[in-house]
Amino acid sequence: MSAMQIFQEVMNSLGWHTWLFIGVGTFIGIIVGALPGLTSTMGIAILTGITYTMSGLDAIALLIGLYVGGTYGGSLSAILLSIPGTPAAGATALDGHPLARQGQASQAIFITRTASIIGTLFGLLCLVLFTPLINRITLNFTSPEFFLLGLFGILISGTLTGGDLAIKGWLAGVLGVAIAMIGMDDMFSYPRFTFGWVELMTGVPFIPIMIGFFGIPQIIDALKENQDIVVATLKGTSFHLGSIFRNIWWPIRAGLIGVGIGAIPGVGEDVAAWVAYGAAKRASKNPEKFGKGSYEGLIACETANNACVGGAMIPLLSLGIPGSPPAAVLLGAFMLHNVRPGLLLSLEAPAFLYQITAFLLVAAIMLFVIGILIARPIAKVLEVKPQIIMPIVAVLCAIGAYALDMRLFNILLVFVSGILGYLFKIGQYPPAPIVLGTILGTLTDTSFRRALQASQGNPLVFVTRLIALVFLLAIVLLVLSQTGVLAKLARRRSAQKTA
Amino acid sequence: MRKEQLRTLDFFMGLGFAGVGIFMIIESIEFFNAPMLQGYPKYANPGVFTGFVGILLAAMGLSLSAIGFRESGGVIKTARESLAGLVKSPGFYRGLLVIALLGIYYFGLIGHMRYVLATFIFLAVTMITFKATAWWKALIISAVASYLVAFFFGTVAHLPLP
Repeated sequence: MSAMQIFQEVMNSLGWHTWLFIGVGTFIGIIVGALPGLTSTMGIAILTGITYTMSGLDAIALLIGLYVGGTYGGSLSAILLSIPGTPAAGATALDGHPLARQGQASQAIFITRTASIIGTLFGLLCLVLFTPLINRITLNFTSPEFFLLGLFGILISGTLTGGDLAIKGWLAGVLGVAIAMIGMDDMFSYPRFTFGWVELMTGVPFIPIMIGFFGIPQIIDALKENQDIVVATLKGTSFHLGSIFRNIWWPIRAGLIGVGIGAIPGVGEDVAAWVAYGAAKRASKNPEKFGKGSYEGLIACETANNACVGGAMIPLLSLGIPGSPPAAVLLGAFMLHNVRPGLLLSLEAPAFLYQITAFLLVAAIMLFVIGILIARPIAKVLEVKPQIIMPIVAVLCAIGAYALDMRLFNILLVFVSGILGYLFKIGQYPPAPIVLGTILGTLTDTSFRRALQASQGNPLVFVTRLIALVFLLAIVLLVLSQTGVLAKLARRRSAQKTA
Repeated sequence: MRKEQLRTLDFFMGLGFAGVGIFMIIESIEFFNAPMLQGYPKYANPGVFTGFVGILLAAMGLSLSAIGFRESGGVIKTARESLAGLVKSPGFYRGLLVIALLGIYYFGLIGHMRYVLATFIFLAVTMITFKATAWWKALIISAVASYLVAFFFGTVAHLPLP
């Protein structure tokens, strides 16, 4: 059966309730994304526990809708308030709000909505094209490859999100791995770092950790600041498609960047948006317009951040390694509903990839419909003070973590990781590598030890296999490039040449 | 935050990471002596990977501390100035208050009384303390929000509330 036949079967099997759940998810996602301080990561994490009693596909449909809606929703507050609703909309505020001040808020919202839809469609196209190709390669992966892939994923995530020093991102990632070591080890069921606590025997669940790291610091900051909100006016409606398709390369280039960055483990939509914005500015004939209301800038960042949704699903479905923080929470949701993404997914559930693609397509359609209807009401919602919204978010963080397995211990995890997350935020340590490390830690641990078991303790197993060697060289090059060793060598060589 | 202040914080954070790493190394050595694991090869021991992670944390933590020490312009001096500035800022006490309110809700209220009541008290106190709106509006919003969260999670999603 060909891919197109499978896809058609999947589309035909989508019942009215699946459309409804995706619509509800998209609607909730847009609101969650629009409210500053809330992100699609938090929204997915909080709702995952609720979906426990739902059927697997309905739950995943709801969460996919939330992911797509949340990624777009951040642009609304970026345009109307100059405060990005999500980190992914950081670049959108640079040109969206100036347009709103010029009385073009409706036009800006129309552009971001259309660009988001184009990005989502581009991302799902790449998802369905590239995932089977990667699946064929990963069938050759064994323990050494998985260990080095996990390590590479954590290091690259730390490098790209590490801010002023890459080592801070690496430390965050390795700390996440250390957190994953808590509990009974997978091979011998030996308890590690449990300190006699029964609650720690099954390990530290990563969803409360995510809720804590991503949610609590936002709550503390929002209530600490006590800022007033000024919302730009939304007048009229606009449907100027010409501004989007004036140059077809704008959305294509941004889509490629979005998918490419989405496929890198743990990096996410915000990096995709900024990289696409920077690329658009460098390639633009009118770079002076960027930051003052450039349509090109808006199209670049919004296409890229939504294309990143499909891009992040590529390593998630083919390798079981999430490409972004929201994808990381989706991984938890998949596992809660007995879907194990990774190597065996293409064998155990070959239609799952096409079901996800169908959900993304429906979410893009819902984004169009709901996006038009919700633009004006959202402007009213954004006028609600953070001092009202954020305490409610704190309540949702607790109940969302508790709902996973009905343990008060999860609320303790949210609080502790929240305080740690706040300290990390002050020190400019990125939260994404910590979460990625928590997710990949067990895989990396068992793969490392299984590789040594299979080779009777011979460490050369990590260099004698070609794919493993490629990953190892990539890790070495990455570390050398960030520690300045390569730059020093290059300077020495050029000094010798001049001499 | 000035770069010197950031690097001072990095110095102390680096020491913290190194401390965690050293603790992991010490615990990992204990795993090799565990009686239930004596029959298995050493290279498959649970302490192998945790020791590796501990070494990474300790090495990178010490490197970060070294960077922080070098670029802080005097760690102790900068730390004292930063702490003095922090304690004087109004945002510091507001932040502490938020953390205290969260702690009281999460550990003092939830699980010790009915969920709707615990949530209502937390929301009302927080909104009134941070002057979200008039006190009577805060009470109404808190009551409605508490009920809606309990209804949605407890009744719609069939989850037993704490």
